[in-house]
Amino acid sequence: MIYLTLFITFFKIGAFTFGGGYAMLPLIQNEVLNHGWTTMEELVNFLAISESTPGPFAINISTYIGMRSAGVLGAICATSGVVAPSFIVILILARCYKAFSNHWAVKGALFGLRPAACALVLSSVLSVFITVFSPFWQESFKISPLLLASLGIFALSTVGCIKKVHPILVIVLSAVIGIILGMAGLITI
Amino acid sequence: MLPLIQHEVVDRHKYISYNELIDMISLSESTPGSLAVNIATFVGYKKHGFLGAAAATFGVIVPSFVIIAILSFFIEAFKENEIVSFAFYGIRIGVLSLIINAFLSVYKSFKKTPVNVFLIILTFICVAVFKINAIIMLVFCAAAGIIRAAITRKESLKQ
Repeated sequence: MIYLTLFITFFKIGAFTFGGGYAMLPLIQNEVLNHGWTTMEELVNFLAISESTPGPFAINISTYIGMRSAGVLGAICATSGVVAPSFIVILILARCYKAFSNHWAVKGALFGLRPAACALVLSSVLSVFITVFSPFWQESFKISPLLLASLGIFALSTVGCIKKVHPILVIVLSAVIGIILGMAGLITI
Repeated sequence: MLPLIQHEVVDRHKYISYNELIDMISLSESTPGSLAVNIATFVGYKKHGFLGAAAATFGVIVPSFVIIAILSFFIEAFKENEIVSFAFYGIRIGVLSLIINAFLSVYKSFKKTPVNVFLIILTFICVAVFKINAIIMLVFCAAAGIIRAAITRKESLKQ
């Protein structure tokens, strides 16, 4: 019953989405990679696609994984799964959200959730870093032209991000440099 | 995203007041799910109960759903294409920078106390090094926050 599995998996992910898309990555890695629905490399590719299309990351990723593993019906199950928790919570709280938001225990929970979400984004940084750079030290580490070029893209895009260049522009520029490197015969796939 | 929501929901259709919108933004922080979906559910419920909530939530999902469903065919079709693979090689490095940037802005967004910093380090080590499920760490940190709040509350009630 792939449809039920998709719904339950994304329900779990949806119930613990605090602090935006990138904080979700460790959760998605855990749940989605274990099922063999995608690879880490494809997941990172999809982060870029999601960044360049409208809509929240949670919706985009659940639609994509659902679609890939079980077609349109799978996409519907995964997407409704990811939305269901927040839908239920908001319905319950719609009448008493003020009392909820101001409750000392909720404020306390939020005090702990913020650093947790922050740490999850940091661990996303680490896993994407490993995905990108681990091929360079898998066999034996040596400084290759591709490594230098990759570090160049990394430096350039990081400076771009800090200077508030639009994310889509960062993605397009990295793509162009990637194509140039590939055409120059530096990337072997 | 927010200016668009404010324009449509508060100014144009007057579904909810500006103050309610602000309340929803802070409620969204302490409930799961993304802001857009939460606001859609809330606005729909206010206007027309459960059916309204279902309709509004459905509406906010449909555009991304359709776009990604169509795109997924192209992603599959061009997966083996050499040029596309080269492009994605570069893109994955760009994404790394985007996430580092996201981390910096999340990190700057709240006040750092010793407890906070400890929770960041603990969660990072547990998830990244020991591969403990992120859900367990989220529950643990929320519980730690509640316990801390309960202790400070008890102390202030004594005084």
